[in-house]
Order: sequence, then C-alpha cells, then structure tokens
Amino acid sequence: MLRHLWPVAAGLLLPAALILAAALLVPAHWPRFLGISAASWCLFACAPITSALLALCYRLGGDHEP
Amino acid sequence: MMIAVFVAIMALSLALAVWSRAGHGRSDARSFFTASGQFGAVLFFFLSVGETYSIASMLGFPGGVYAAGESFVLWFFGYILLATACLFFLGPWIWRAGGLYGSATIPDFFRDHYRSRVLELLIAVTSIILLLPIGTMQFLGLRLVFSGLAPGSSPLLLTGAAGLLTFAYVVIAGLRASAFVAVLKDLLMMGSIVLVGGLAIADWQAAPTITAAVASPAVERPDMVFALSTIVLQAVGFTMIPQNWAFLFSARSPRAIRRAQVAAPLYMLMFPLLMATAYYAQGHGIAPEQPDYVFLATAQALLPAGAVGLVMAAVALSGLVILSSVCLAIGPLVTRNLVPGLSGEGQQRWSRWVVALFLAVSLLSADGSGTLMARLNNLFYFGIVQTLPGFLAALLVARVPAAAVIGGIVAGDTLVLALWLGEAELGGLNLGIPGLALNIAVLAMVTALWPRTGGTSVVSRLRTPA
Repeated sequence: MLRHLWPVAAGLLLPAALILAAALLVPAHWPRFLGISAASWCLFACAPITSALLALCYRLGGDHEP
Repeated sequence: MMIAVFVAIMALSLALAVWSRAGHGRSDARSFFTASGQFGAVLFFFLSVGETYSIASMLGFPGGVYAAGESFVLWFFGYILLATACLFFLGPWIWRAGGLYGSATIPDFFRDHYRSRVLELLIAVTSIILLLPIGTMQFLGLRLVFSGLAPGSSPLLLTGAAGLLTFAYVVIAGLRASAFVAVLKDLLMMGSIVLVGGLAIADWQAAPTITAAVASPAVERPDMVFALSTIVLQAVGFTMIPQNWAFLFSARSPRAIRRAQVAAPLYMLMFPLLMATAYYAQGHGIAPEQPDYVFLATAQALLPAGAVGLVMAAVALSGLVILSSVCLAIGPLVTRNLVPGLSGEGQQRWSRWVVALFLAVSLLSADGSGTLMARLNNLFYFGIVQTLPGFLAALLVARVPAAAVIGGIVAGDTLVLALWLGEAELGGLNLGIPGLALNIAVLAMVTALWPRTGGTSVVSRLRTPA
C-alpha cells in the first residue's frame, strides 16, 4: 500500500503543504525584493521544488501500469 | 518596424502550421482532433503549457498585480502549480481510459463506459456552454494588443484577421498545427518575458525609484478560505478541461505525459518576472490606460520598436494558440457527440463550420461589451470540475450507474448556479466546492440505492488480459 501511496504524498500532498506554508508562515514584515513580498517569493520557490519532487516520483515511483 | 515584425511572425506561424502537415496528408478524425496520439514529451509539453501561459497570464497577471497588488497571486499561482501535479498522476489514467474506448472527447468516454447517450449529451452541452466564453476572452485580449500595435485602426478588422488566422491553423492541420504554433509561441513568449522583465530589473538597479513606491503598501493577506478552496477546486478541475483531454490523447504514452509534467512547474518561474515588471511600471511612472496593458506598456517604454513587435506577436500568439485548441475541443463535441453518426470525414468537414461559427460569435461578443461572456467565464471551473467524480468512479468503482453520474452532475451544476446567481457568501469558500460535494453525495446515494450490475471499472478492464 505504502509503495503506491508515497508518490502521491511526495508529488501532490507535499507541494500542497508547501504552498500552504508559504501562505501562512511567512511573516508579513519580511522585506520585499524587486517589489515582491517574501511570501510570494516562497510561493514561487515551490515551483522548482515541485518539479524535483515529480522527477523523484517519475524515477522511483514506477510506471503505475495496471 | 513594429508592425512589420508582428506581421512577419504571424506569417511564420502560418508557415509552421502548413509545415506541421508534412507527412500527414490525409488525416482521419482522430488524427485531426488528437494527432492520433503521436506526440512525444516535448510537443505534448508545449501544447499543454499553452494553457498555463495564455493571453490572460501574460496580460492579466501583471495587470492584476499592477491594479490590486498580490492578494490574488496565491490562488492563481497555487492552482496552476498543483494542476501540474494532478495531471502528472491523473493524466496517464485519462490517456489509458481514452485508449480503452478509442475516445477523442470527454463525452465519448462517458458514453462508452456508462453506455448512456443522455450522459454524453449532458456533458457535451455543458462543456460547450462553458467553453464559449473562452473565445470571447481571447479576442478581448487580442483587442488590447492591437490597440497598441495599430492605435488608429478598426479593432473588429484586426481581430477578424486574427480569427481567420486561427481558422487557418485549425483547417490546415488540426491539433498538429496548434502544437507546432505553440512551440513558436512559447519560445517567443519566454524570450519576451525574460527580455522585458530583465530590462526592467536592470533599469531598476540603475534608477531605483521603485524602492519608495513599493515600500509603503503592507503585504495584503489574501482571503485564505477563498484562496485555498480555489486552489483545490481549480487544480483538480484543470484535469477535466475538454481541450486538456485532447492534449492528453495526443501524447504517445503515459510516460510522455509524466515527463512533460515534471518540467511544467519550471516553466512557472517566469511569473516573478511578470510581477517585477508590474512593480517596475508602478514605480517608474508607466501608467497604461488599462491595467492589463501594463506588460506591453513596459515593453514599449524599454524596447525598440522592432522588439516591441516581437513581444506583441508573442502575446497575440498566446491568445491564438488557446483559441485554436478551444476550437478543436468544441468541433468534435458538436460533430461527434451532439450529432452522432457522422463519418470521420463528415466530422472534420462539419467541425470546420462549427469552428467558423464559434469564432464569429466570439468575435462579435468581444466587439460588444463581452459582459455576458465575462460573467459566464467565472462559471468555468465551477462547471468543468463536475465530471471529475464520474470519471474517478469509472476508474475505480464498477457499481456506479449512469443515473448516479447524471444526477450528481445535474445536482452539482444546479447548486453552483443557484449560489452564483444568488450571490451567496459562504465565508469565502469557492462556490464550486459545495457543488462538487453535493455531486459526490448524489453519486454515492444513487449508487447505493440502484447499483449497476455487470459493469466493470476501467482499472479492472485494463488489468484483465485481452
């Protein structure tokens, strides 16, 4: 069971948790860079992390062939 | 010079569409609508990310930041990012499910799996209604581009020419032309965003007037209930968009889909550049007549005329690629699902008329106020996501009857429409969520009361040796 579920946890739930963390945990008073708030920078950083996690799922998660 | 570069790029896109036909002279309907599942990861990637960087992203995203700050960025960026992950996991199953029945559209699959003409008609009609406003929205974006490209000329004439170009893509090579033009569009678009954003940042360092301008506003915390519910609803709903199914069916294999989705989030790294461009404009006295013009206004402030023509062509192509893919989604919904029994050749022939009609209606709607379509566009994800419970049930549960899926969709759509028309406030909750919840509840209840006998789930069928 765990063998089938870990790719979903890593590739879908973890990025969702990161997005949530970027929205809730970054203090509003942190400085801006190029006009963009720290919360938005953290949100943007979720993109390459998600890509890396999906690459991990692609490499190690098997083909999920029926 | 600006217009010359723009026209040259449009001509190049047409040449690419013609070239995409090479070696595929006479195509059948499946080839026309889904490229016969021949695209590898690269072409599939460019086709599918076209949805991410539409004309709305290129103009609307910086425009929204310029006009109202960052409060919408969380749900906008969050849902697109999670949608890539949803497609990574669900896309291969959609591909396999479609392959099992030889489907080219969503209603094709539901008709064949649930053996229900009523369900096919219900999904086809709702999909068409939900897709109609997208054409208008693209033409409204194109009008904005043309207002900067040729300020004195008739917008109807220019958008009409854009409509003709889209029609040409579709007629020349169907989805294959869309994919090839999407490659050109994405290369130009990446170049444009890097160029405008890069120059804005470089100029920012040289004359940092922006510091004063952006230091004052506090970080606006978005409405978390709305943002998070919208991210979830739209990310899963993204997998049920009719043209996305056509893209998925165009992929050579599930592996090609997953490889493309691994790379797709990296493509989103251009959003910070779009955002920086908006803030640069704010701090440097660039004041466009409409907020959505801010990216183009910044390009005009920073680039020579020829390069501005290139940027405008990139933005226009981003609208045309979406327009052509929506045309190719609506065509078969009418000729395969609403009007059954047409031959493959008939489907292609009648699809051209349907596409021409769709383009004409969208063009005229955009030339009017476009208000009705803009309002209908808000319903897009509310409605499009309602097929998801039925699809997941088809994958996993053999006992679900067609009546359960029909009941779920009708109940979900009705509730969403009632809430939307009544302007209901649910503490910020996205209105699609209660609709989806009711849909699932009705589907489960009808299945419990009147289970299907003799049915087989898609996963079971795929596991059974032929």
